[in-house]
Amino acid sequence: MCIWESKLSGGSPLLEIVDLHVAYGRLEVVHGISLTVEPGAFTVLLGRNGAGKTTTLRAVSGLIRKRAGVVRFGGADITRASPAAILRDGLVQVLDGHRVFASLTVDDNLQVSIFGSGQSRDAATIDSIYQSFPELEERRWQPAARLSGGQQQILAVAQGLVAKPRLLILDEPSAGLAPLVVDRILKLAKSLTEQGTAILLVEQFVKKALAYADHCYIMDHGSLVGAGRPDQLQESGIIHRVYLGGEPDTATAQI
Amino acid sequence: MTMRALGSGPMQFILAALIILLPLLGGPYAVHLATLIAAYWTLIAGLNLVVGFTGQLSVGHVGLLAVGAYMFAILTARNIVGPEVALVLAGVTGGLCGLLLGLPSLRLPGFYFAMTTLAFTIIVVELAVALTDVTGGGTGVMVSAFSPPMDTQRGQYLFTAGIAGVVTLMTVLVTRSMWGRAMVSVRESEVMAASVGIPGYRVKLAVFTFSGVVAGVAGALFGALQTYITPDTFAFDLSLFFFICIIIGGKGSIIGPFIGTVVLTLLPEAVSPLAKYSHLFYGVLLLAVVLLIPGGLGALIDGPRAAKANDASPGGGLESHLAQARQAFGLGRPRDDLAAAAAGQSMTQSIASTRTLDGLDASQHSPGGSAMRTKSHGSAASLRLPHPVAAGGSLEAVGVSRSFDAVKALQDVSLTAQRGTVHGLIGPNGSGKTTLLNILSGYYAVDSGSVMLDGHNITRSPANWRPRHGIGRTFQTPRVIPELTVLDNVMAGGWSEAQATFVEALVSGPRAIRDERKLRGTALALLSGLGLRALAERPANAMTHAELRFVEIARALMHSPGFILLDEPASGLTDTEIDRLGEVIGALRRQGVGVLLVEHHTDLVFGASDVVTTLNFGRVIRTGTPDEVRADPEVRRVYLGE
Repeated sequence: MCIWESKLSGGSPLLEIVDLHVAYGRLEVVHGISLTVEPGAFTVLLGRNGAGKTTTLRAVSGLIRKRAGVVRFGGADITRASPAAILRDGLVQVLDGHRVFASLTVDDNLQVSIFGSGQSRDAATIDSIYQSFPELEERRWQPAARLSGGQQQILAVAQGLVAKPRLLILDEPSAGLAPLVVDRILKLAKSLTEQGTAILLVEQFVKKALAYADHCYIMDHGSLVGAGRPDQLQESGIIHRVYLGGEPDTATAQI
Repeated sequence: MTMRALGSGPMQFILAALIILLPLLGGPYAVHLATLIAAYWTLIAGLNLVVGFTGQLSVGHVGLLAVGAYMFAILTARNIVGPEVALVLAGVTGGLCGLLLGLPSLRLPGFYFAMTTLAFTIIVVELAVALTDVTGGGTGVMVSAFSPPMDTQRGQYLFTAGIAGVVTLMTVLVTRSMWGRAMVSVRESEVMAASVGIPGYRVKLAVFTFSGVVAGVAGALFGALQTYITPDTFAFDLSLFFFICIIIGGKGSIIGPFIGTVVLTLLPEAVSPLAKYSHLFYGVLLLAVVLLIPGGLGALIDGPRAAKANDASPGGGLESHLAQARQAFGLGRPRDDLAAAAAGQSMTQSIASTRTLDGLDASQHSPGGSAMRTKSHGSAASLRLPHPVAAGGSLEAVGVSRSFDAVKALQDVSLTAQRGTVHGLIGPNGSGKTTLLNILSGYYAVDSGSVMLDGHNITRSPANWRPRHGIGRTFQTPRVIPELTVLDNVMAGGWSEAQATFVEALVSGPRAIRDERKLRGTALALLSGLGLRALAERPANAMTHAELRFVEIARALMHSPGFILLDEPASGLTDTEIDRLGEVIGALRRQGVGVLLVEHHTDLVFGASDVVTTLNFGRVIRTGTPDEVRADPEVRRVYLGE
């Protein structure tokens, strides 16, 4: 019944979220989200501020407790797994708001990330990161606190990349970044998908995100209100409606 | 929230009177214990302002208690003055010691401040031992009783409890004033406090001196109750005891630490056969509270009350839903969860809030109750500064350079922002935009160059001076006081508009009352102008990211700044919210405010700005009209990439 199921025919999805509910205290904020991310797919999750996107992502990577639902990653049930185990499994999340270890150097920030992902130290990985982000190499031996807000955000993304994820979740990576850098990061993410890494992106630059996406989900008020290929969603007008604050029309959700 | 949680009105006074009279029903032992609690609480109420509200960890108040007690004992023993005058002089001495101790130590960061207060206590106790002639040395000194009718046990109790009651009332009043907001601002972030003109050091010093006065008075009351004091009476344990009472009670609460004091004083007595284990009980209780109710006892009491207040407010379903949520959170979740809960709560809130922003968009019609509520509250067109801004004039950076270690963050940068214009500041990440903003707002010193405001050199003026002289700012990551309401957060911006002194705030003098009324009106008008009126009574930690950005702007506008420096205000906002931000910037510009806009959303910068400056590697590469800058090949190469 849903158009994106045609994409599933190729094999089992990398990430599968089934009927996920997340609550804070007695207040439920995510009401039964189901979505999938295919291996190597560039998937985008859209929605207004406060729609429940960040909460969903954090629940998936084990940072907040799930009230109900199942999350499978690579076929294994990770619903109750610890954040550390999920990370070592290859599901890496770059949190919103340029979170880095301020007192560690740029280099140590990357080393810590490699350590956390359970890989062995590998000079080549870090070198390739510095190639992609020369602004980080310049500041390699400085504490991250010395970086500007935008550079810290670049470092946070780089930390995600050195973990060599199977699925990289990016929560508003563009916040505070210069336009050129936003394009650079999105292109880099796209090139990762070509090497088999799947991307799940939350972004407020809707147009830019859609330009790179293979598949897109839209959330509003803690529920999924639309899903499909970017062109399908744009044609249906649902993105416009959601962002302008109209009532979600469930009839149009299934294109 | 907690600031208002004690409520007001005759009910509270009747309740307080009943609590004070209750111990009189018991025997002499009960009255003795109650007197001890009242004396302790007199000190703790003052210390609570230092620790719980202003966030300064003093472990040295037993030293101030000793100063008061010895002062009282010596003055009365030698018949220099009567006991009541001696009590006042004990308070004065305590206040002086507090002031002298605070003057150097309150400039130090938290840990070092705590160590200084510890050192002070050690010095006082050692002096009490050494100055045998005055203090009686190790053998101690007798303490006289008060004059009749306070010389009976009950009389003494009522006198002590009365003083404790007055001190409590003062702390309640001061925490509800602008000074209270300033204290909490200092606790949460001195950077944020400075951004609205709050002089952190002065606030800390006022609060610490007051705590010294009441500690001195408490020392006299305590000494009179003990009838005999030695240096051992003022063991360091007692300081820890005071501290633990406040921790168990919870930060930013008055009733919580009070209950903490009562419980911790009675606990060892209730299990007197196990008196030798009393420290063990403190330890276990402290662990239990920290682990189970990290908000402290105050959170248990204040939390539901605040929720009820929410329930009662006109708003209907969603409000009570939120109140419920708050109540659930109040029941103590681990700290991380609380923070997450705050973030998460905002998710559902956006049902109302995003619409709140949208509802103002004239072209929009959003269904639902919240939109109806907000509909009548005007749009950016109704955004008015509290006071008109003087026309003309400029804020300038002249040849400013600044390095951090080897990194040259700014090199010979000049920029002139005019009132009544929007000056965009763009550039690659790390090009020095925020550094320049921090220099203009006084957070960083320059290595060379100067900052000029209307032709006056303000290079050396501190950060908290600048808001008071018309330079406001917001932060890249919104800085608010999470547990206060949106309204209180905005009112915290009104420091330079408030006139009442600390002492006036303690007794809620006419100027303090007038300040409150005025600031409240100003803050509500600004929130209405920004379309956030409906959120005024909600806790800030329940707001979405976008709302906090507008709350920060409202806070900065409280003192009618001639210039406002916005650090990436559109970051993380949706297109609709960015449009709204553009309207707000336009409204400020029309009212003569000079806006310095650091931003990466190029549509907003080029659409809203009159002049745009581009930085790269700490140097200005182009200043001009938006069209000129946009067409500049260098700007396109290093930044726009179009």
